[in-house]
Amino acid sequence: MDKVVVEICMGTTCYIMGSAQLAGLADRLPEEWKDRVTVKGMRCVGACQQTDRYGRAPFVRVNGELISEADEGKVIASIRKCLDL
Amino acid sequence: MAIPMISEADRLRREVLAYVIKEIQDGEYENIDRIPVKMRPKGEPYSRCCIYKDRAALRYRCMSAMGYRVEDEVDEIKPLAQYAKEIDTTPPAANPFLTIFPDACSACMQSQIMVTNMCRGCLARPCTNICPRKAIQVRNGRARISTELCINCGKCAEVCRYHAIIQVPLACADACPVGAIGKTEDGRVTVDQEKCIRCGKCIKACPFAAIMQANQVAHVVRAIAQGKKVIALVAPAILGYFPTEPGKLYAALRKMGFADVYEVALAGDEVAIDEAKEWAERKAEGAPFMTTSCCPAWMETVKRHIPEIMPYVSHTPSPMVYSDRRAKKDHPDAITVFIGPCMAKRAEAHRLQSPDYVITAEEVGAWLMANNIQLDDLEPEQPACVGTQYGAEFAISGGVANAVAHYLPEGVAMPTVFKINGLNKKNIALLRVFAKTKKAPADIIEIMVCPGGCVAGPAAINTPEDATKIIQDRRPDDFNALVK
Repeated sequence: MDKVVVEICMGTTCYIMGSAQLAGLADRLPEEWKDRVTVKGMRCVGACQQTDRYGRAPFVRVNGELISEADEGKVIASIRKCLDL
Repeated sequence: MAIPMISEADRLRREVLAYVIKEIQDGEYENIDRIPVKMRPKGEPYSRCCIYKDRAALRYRCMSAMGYRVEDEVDEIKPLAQYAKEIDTTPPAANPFLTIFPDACSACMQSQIMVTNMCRGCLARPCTNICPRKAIQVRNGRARISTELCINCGKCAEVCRYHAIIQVPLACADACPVGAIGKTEDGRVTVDQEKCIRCGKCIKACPFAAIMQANQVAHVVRAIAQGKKVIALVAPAILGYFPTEPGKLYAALRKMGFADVYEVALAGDEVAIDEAKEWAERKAEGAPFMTTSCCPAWMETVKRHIPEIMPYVSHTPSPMVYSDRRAKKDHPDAITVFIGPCMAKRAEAHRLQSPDYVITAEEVGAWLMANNIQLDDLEPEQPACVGTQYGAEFAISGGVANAVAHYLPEGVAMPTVFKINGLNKKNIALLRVFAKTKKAPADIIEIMVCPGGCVAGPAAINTPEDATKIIQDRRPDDFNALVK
């Protein structure tokens, strides 16, 4: 099965508005998920400059789907969905 | 209880700062009056009781972002644009900088232990047995707590098998290490400025963001917009907040208009060298111990709560002061700005009139946001001066003592170290005992009001763990870690 790819936006706006708190997410995932999920940073995709369309920062992409106002709860829920749990 | 690193209140504050910075920078003062409406547009969700209260709160938040205290308002319909114009003639409210918007305060209950309806008045009654003050009695089938006797220890809440006893927190007062928070007759928050040590913990803790601070960033942005020469003094903690090499941040600061950048870490080295000498001299004169002096909230604590410890506090000024002296010597005509994670530094700078302004990591973060500056896109630049790793680790609990130990003059015995890693009511009492008995468990008492050190300051961007890691990952191979 393909790994779930989690990309945390490390652009300035996302970082200041909260993605800085998500930087250590990989270490906090449940043990049994660790080899099924890849967590990495991503560069600014410009979504923060189009709040009408994409919502507010911080943004995280889980398997290509953009999550706005992302926090740990939202990201974990999205990973869970992708893992079919 | 742990306070989350970032909450909606933090986001709101950062967003307001970014909007205000943008308009001040562009000179579009009239737009500042639109910020509350822009952030809470008609028909969109709101957070308080109605959209109008949200907007009113945002208006005061804009005021504080421009360096004003809510208490100083004389005309409620004075446009924000007018406040922006007056920046040129009004210095930011620096001491006290803390400001309260009473209508945002939810008048939370006094911190207390409460028996809820879940209590079944059981036979076992572990609550009555565990209470050290015998404050609980069961009457009419339910446990009753005598408020006169209760000391809020919470033991009864832990043992109740029905979870019927709860500890009701009062976020602001619980966060305050010195009991400076009180209530008005209608239950709203007040801060006793005589007791307040300017640590900023209540600002971070209040779930309604009713406690705010007068920022200084608008004054700095304005000085740059007027073409003045402005120098940034960057505290070592800042270098733990961004996962990039420091040079990229320096490039960003230059892009924002700072004429030059000084690493305060170098001043940290100088302070450690002087403090090591000072300890050697004090020890030779028979001093029982010495406390550090670089934490400004600690120095406020000494002045306001433990004056008897003053003879044991190091006389060496803080790295901020050393760094400002260097910058002012190189550029006598410049305006100097300390950039750190700390709010109490504002009080220190105001008292010493050095440096000219203090802005926080949060204010710089909002400034970067306002201009959409991406650190990764920038070529790293060199600062005017660079500190060593010892100076850089002043930002981490244990780091100051370690630097002092490292720079010890030859022939002086290695001092023992006791760390106060986060000031609270308990260790304040302990410090009083050290002063009274002229005895301490170690030679050097390193005191950091924020648990973790400056990296955990109230204006931090990432977690103290991540910031510590980013800083410590820069340790050279020959780094001397003497203090664990």
